[in-house]
Amino acid sequence: MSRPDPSPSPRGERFFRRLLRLFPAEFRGDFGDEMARTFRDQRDDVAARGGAGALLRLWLETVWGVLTTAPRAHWDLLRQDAGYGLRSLRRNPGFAVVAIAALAVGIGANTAIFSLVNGILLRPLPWREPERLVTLFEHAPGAPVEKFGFSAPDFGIVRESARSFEDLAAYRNADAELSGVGTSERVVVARVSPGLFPLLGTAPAIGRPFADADDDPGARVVLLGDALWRRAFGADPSLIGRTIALDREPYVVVGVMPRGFVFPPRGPVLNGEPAALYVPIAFTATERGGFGAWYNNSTVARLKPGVTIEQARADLASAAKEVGARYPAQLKDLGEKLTFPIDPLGEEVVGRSRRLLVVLMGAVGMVLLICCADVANLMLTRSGARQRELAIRSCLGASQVRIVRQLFTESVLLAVAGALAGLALAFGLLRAFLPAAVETLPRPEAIRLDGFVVLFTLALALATPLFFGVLPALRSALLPPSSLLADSLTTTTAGRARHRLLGALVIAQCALAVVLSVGAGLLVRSFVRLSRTDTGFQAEGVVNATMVLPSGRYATGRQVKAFFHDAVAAAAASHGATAAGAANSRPLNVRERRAFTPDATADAAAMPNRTIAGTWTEGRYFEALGIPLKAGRFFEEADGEPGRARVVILSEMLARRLWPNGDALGHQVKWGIESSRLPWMTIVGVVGDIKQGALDSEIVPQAYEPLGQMVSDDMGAPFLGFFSEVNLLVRSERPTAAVGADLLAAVRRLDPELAVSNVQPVPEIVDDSVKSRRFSTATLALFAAVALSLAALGVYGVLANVVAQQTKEIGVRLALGATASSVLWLVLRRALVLTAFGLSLGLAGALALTRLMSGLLYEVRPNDAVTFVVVSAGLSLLVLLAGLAPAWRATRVDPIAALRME
Amino acid sequence: MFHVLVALADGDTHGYAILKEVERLTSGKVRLSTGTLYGIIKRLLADGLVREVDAEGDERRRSYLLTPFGKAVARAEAARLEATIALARRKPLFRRS
Repeated sequence: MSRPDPSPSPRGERFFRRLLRLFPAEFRGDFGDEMARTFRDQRDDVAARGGAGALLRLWLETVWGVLTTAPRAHWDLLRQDAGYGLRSLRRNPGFAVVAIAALAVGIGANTAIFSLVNGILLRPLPWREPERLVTLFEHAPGAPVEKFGFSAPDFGIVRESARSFEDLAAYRNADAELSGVGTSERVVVARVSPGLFPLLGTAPAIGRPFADADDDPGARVVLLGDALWRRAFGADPSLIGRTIALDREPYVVVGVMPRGFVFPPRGPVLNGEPAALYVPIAFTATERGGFGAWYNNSTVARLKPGVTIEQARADLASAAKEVGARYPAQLKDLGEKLTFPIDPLGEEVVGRSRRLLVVLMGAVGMVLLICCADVANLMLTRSGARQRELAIRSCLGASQVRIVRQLFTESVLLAVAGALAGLALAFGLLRAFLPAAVETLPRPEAIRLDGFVVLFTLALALATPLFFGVLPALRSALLPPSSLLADSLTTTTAGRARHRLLGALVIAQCALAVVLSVGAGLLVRSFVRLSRTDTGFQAEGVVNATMVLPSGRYATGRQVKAFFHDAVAAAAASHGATAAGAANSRPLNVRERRAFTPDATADAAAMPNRTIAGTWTEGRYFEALGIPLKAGRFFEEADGEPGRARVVILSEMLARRLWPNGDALGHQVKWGIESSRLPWMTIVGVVGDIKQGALDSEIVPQAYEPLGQMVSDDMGAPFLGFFSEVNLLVRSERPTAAVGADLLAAVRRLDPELAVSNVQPVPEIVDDSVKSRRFSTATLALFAAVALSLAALGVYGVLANVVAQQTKEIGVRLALGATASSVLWLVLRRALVLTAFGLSLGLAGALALTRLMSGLLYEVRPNDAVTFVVVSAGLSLLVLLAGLAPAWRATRVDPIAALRME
Repeated sequence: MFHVLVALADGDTHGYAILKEVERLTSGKVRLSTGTLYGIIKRLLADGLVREVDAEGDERRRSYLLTPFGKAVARAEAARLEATIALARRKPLFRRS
């Protein structure tokens, strides 16, 4: 529209021209020279009349004018493009709906998973300067676990001697009975160092924090969590200063923690369950002197400003020397081996979930790419149909940049619509995920769709068009208009080029779908293996009821033993019961680990690590849980009575390891190290191995002892605490719901106030132990299914397009005598060739990527051949199915009609 | 925008002349910058209120001319403003002293 101005450009004008670059190219093309000329006239005029001040004012006004007008010019153009794009999409609603739906699936899945990643990994822990918070453990070479909690004396010495920390605090969880408010209930109580809350940088919302004076076993004070305060006490502020009953002992409520305060955080293996209320940890004198025992306290510390983890590590090495020096002589060996690993607290909380979240994020990333390829496919197919329109616009003078911009705006419109729908989908997905996430992922309270997540979705909406919109747009723009016009009328080279591009996209889709499906397949195979894993016991028909005896009411060994005995007797007498027993641990939750020593006949060298799992039983525990007897006998009623010979039953693994010839019966073992003065026990039976933890945990050697033998009549705190958990098991022929009700009633008769938690069929307990794997498997399988469907859709789309474009060619072939089967093969061959390429790429990618998943698999190798074969066969079958409809349509082409199309 | 239409009332005018005319008509109260002026011109062109012509004596330069439609719009706008002012003048607050 405007003509170049030959006059030389002084510096000012060059600057003005640069300023004009803020306008859209089109605007510049239309008015740039004219504006430069006008500005020059204006400037000459002002310079002649006014001088420096007026010139400065002119410049300021000009710059301001450009800065305010240019965005408006862009906006006008965008509105124009968007309006045009909307009209064009409205003309083709089928295309728009499918494209938006595909993008919604991709963006929605990404948004949902990103909100998990954001809440768990990216959001800082909700405490003051969380980067300075660390967690400490104890470590001893040869111990059954790599890192374990602190014992009271070790904690005391480290806190006293380490110099890198502002403070250290210990905490551990316990179950307690909260009574006197409606029905009594089991609550998780955290015993915490009084310094814990100031260390975290938090304080009670009402009332006072713990004082140092509260850290005394005699002080009975409690801080309530906000949720419990609202639920059980109706958010009554006058509760402060009043007493509540915990384990049937009075505790004074001194405060309520702030709303949303969650501690301990979920995630760590030790003490990883948020507590409902908090009491001072108040180590007893016995605990403080308990060197070599009770390594069950979690430790959190705050680094001094400027101190690095490495410096703290060096500091802890010297603290370890101090600890070793203070261990009593008979435990010196252990004490001197101890070291204290240190990790950032955030890493301890979320570290175990990182791999799963990264895999899920990678998976949804692939789903999004597949969605983008699908939409790109659709757009390319559509661009075939739109070529005439674009060619006419181009001939009428629209520049290539203008056409690309137009097509790209349409892509952005699709993506924004897809993102809005995706946001709604993510909201739905999250609601579905969250119940599972609460039980399987750390920090569930931090997972939500917040502003940052919405920003991420917005970024996706703007980034995805780069993947699906650029290719079709560039292709349309790079071809000269004449070829576009020609291509729109006949099927020529440009049409073939488009088919090649479509083919490449389908190959990419298939490859991504293969990678995802192999990943999901490996998890599914792991899960199937896991589900088939033998627990070692017969869970079917067994119900378990867990209760913890409150120390206020059950203060002596005699009282605890009497309850165990009476509860088992009551359960055994219930209608339909075939066996009843009790133990101090729930099935799949045997936490007790103890050192033990066999007599001289054992092959001691076969078992250098003398720490085994221990369970204390009452009644017919083995029959009730269905643990098979391998040799000897089960415990009898009289075992454990005073004056009887002390007996023990070993697991098969333990018996075989120590007495490989199978002659363990009659030999003796004792608890503790060799110098221990605990009595010898005679092996009377060998039973089958059972899983002590979740299905994917390793089986460890185990010993069983009658509870009555272990607990003396006069035993008291703190030792009695290890036997206060009662797990009542009954095997019955009746439905589990009825059995559960009977168990509850039996317990109520013995102690009406006792809170019973977890009345649960044992198969359900087994099921619960694989929850987190079920979550990851189901999620990834869902994404893989979506990916496969989208890939199949892509194949279908391409073939349908090819058949439509080649109707004439097919018609000619049929007219020349080609059979239907040869035409069918012609089309399907194309699908199979694309799949073969996609498969090869995908399998190679899967081989490279699934190695990252090895930590998530169970008894399945990342290169598991079965998974790879099944996925390959499955994809090929799916593609064949997707190709059948277009291929069938090709065989139905009427040669005469096809030839008339010319 | 109305100021630009008024500035064009006497016949075809090029960019800088429009700027000066607007400034003169408003006694310097309204000073359009180059960017603002061409933003307005683009919209007037798009709406068909003005059209481009080669400037007299300099064919590299472009002038702008009110189309018949542009003239009608300018007149209608002037009449609307007049009527609005007449309405206001009925109240003592707006009467000329």
